[in-house]
Amino acid sequence: MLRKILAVDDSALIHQMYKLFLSRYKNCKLISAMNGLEALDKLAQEEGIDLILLDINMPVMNGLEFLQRLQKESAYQAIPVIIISTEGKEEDTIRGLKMGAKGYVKKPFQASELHGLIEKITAAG
Amino acid sequence: MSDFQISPELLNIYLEEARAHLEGLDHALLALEREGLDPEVVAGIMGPLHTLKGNSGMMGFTGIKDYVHRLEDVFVRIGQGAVTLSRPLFDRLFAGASALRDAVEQACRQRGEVRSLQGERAVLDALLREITQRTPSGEGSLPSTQSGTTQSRQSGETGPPSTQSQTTVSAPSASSSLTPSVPSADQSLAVSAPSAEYISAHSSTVRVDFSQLDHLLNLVGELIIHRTKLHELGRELAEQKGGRETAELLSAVQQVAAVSTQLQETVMDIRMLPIRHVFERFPRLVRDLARQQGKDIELILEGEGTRIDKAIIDEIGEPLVHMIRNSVDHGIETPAMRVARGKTPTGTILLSAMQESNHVLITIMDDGSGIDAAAVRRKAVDRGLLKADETLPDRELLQLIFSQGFSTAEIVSDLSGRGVGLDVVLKSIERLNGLVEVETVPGVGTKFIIQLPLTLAIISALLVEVSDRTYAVPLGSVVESLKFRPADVHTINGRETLRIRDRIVPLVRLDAFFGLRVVTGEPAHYAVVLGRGDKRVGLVVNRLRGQQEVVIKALDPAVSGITLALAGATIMGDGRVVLILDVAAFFEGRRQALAHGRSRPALAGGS
Amino acid sequence: MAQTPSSRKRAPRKKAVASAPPEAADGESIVEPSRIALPSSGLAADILALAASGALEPAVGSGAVPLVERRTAVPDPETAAAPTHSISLFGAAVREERKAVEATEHLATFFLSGEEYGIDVRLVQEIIRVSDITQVPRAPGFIKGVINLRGRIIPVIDLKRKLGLGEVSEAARQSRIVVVKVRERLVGLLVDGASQVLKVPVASIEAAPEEVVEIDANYLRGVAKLESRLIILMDLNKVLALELREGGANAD
Repeated sequence: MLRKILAVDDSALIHQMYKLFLSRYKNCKLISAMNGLEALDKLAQEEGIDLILLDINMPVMNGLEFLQRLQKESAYQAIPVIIISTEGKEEDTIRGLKMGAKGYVKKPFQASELHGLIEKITAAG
Repeated sequence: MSDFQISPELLNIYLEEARAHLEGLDHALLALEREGLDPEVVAGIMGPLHTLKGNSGMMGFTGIKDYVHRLEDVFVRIGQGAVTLSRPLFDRLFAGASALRDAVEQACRQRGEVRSLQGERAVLDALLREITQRTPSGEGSLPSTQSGTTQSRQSGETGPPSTQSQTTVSAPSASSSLTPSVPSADQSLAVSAPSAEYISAHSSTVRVDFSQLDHLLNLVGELIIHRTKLHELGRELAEQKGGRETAELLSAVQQVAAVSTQLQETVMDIRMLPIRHVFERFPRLVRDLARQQGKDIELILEGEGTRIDKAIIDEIGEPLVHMIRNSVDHGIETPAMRVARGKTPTGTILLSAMQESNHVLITIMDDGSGIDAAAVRRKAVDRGLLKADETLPDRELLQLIFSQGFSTAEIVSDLSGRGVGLDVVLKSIERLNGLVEVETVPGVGTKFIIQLPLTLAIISALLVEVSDRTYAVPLGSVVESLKFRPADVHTINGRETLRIRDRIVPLVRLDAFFGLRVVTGEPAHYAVVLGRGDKRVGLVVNRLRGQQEVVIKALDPAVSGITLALAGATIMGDGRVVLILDVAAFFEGRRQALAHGRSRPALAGGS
Repeated sequence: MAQTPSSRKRAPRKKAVASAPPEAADGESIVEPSRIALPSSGLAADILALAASGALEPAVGSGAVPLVERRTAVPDPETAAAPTHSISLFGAAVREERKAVEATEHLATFFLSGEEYGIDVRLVQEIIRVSDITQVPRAPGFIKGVINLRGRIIPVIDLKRKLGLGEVSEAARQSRIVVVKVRERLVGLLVDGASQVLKVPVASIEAAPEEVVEIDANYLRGVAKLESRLIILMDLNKVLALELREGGANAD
């Protein structure tokens, strides 16, 4: 039961697409952050975030740094993270996975692909 | 079958972001071209390109996505120092950037990729092949597209591991620990080097549709109207009744007035954007134009942070483009000619913006050949705008270059566009309730000064009654208003005029002008004297009805197109629509009358 | 240079030095022939296992086993399913309104000189009583003026004058203003009276016979014959063509 999803990406377009893609999850609140720092703020403000969709390439604080900070907080460690990857940045994706992200999906992706991954990851607990 | 529909809203967001990224691309190229290789500039553009690539992919614009990917590769190479930065290289890159912008705009307009970037891609492929052949692969540590390793300037720390990590996945962090073992968390996590422009682009802002701001402004406008009414009623009541409750009511009304004023100011403030948004595209424009004409020109921007209403920003771009083109085409001379004149071979154009009390001054100044007043005079006489024996002070003479069909260039260059002369520029500026003046010194340079109001949306107006109708006259253009008697009117050359102190002011009878019922038999009339620079025109009305702040509402083009003298409309507290006069129309008419040497038919007739 | 724990089997590591720069296929980069290829999505557990086993080594130009084979080793084909990344922009998109294959047309009707006219109801924003119309000086006869519609100033066109049928009386009690939205612009149509909103079966629509109708056939889409009445279907886009052009009637 997804109640809150935190999407972290520096592009407003991607956030709009998340809004569309994730509309199928009724009663689920979608929270957006434009970079890692903002994401940390949102985590502190909003309780009960069930899933994080994470872009790597962002200004101010990138995804990997954010992940590292995330791992340090016991409260946030358990939140599943899906890395939103791009071509040419496979190294970063792998590092993110090693840092504890549960999965990834490459841009450009279809909504169904994202849904499939989310379901697998959240079902797994 | 698609998962979702590409809605206009989505396209808008994509387009807006893409435009910002493409601007960044232009700037990066300009900076590299002008100042040579700067790793920070290169690092700074990688992020935007990357986002543009991702976004284009998500929208299904694969051609665009692939092209941007190539661009990323080229920049990586540039960042490594593997590319000789030459003029031809930049010509190719700029051409590619233009093609990319074109493809993006078209894709958004047509909601699908239309323009193929194959040709441009081939150019980049060839470029990359050249580079790879010239330098051996796998040199040093590669910045960006490759990995999460450090940038080239930090290569020292991560030399050997990074090379290895290209080929295997299990390299440095081979142990089961989840954190990378490469030294210093910060550096190893540096995925994209922070760059000032890129960082400041986002964070604590909210994206708002401009139409929502308009809506907000409309609501505030209505609030103001009702507030004014409340205030009036309150005062009337106080005069009639008095007493504690009335006093409290008045006090409450005053509070409402105070808050709504703040609200108004805040909303107006939100609509104000830095003029940078307009100025940004000019460096590129000047570069291209200068190249085309074999001239060497430097564009200096000043005061880009000066804020102005978005509605004005949307409209001022085009006139500025024309004027800058003018400076490049006719102002700045070729390097050879400049040297012959004892000038530096590189010409300079200064574009600056500055706020002064309640308007913004935009200046376009060049150190080119200036405007020859004598040539202007000759042309003016030629075109019948001036009589051979007529003399005009230089300042007014120069203003003639804004007249229709006037062009001082011997060769009409196709760059400025056929027939798009300064008269169109003048019209655009006047539509914004602005003014433009020109100063020049032959052989030394020319300066255009544009004055614009800070905002279009709310103005102070003088309400007047003409026949049985009420009209609003923008107070900013009103010099004075006065009562006069029929006997005071003198007819000169078939035109009615009024002597005001030591000036002769031509009159326009609004009832006749608008084809309304002429109210005769009144002992006096009122003249509202409009001023524009040195000129004066008096509008004859039946009554003055006080001043008021009004929110300007646009008139549907179907209506504004047919009437010559309406700038918009406003809504009174009681819901009545009052039309707002377009001050410029009354000055134009006069100019045309001068040119054709006859008076306007509507003004014929006695007092 | 760290080695992976020897307990895991690894294929011999190959240095990806291309002998000659490969031709760039679509989406591929020329610059890094040694780039790692990942499937389009995946779970950490699976990918990391693959990575450790070396199955994700680059294949291009290096002579290693082509990646295509490797990919099939990746579990969960469903997640990696989508073969194309392209998103079809349009065509298949279904607009809800069109779902009912237009067996009926939804009309808003009004009266002009006793005749009933109909326009697509989707164009109509609202129908209001005639309020103060502010005249616009020197406007052509059919532009009655402008009105204040909840803060928006919209032009009002006397439809009878526009069509050459006479003139609508502003003062008459039944006169109405039909506010339509055409191409993002709001226009008020002054009519003798408003009728109703109704659905007519497409089958009942035929071409307008010349004798019946007085106005330019150009403006019509046809007539709907219902049992006791005839509704003349008007093509608003054509009627307002001039006004809808930028600058309006001035442009003629």
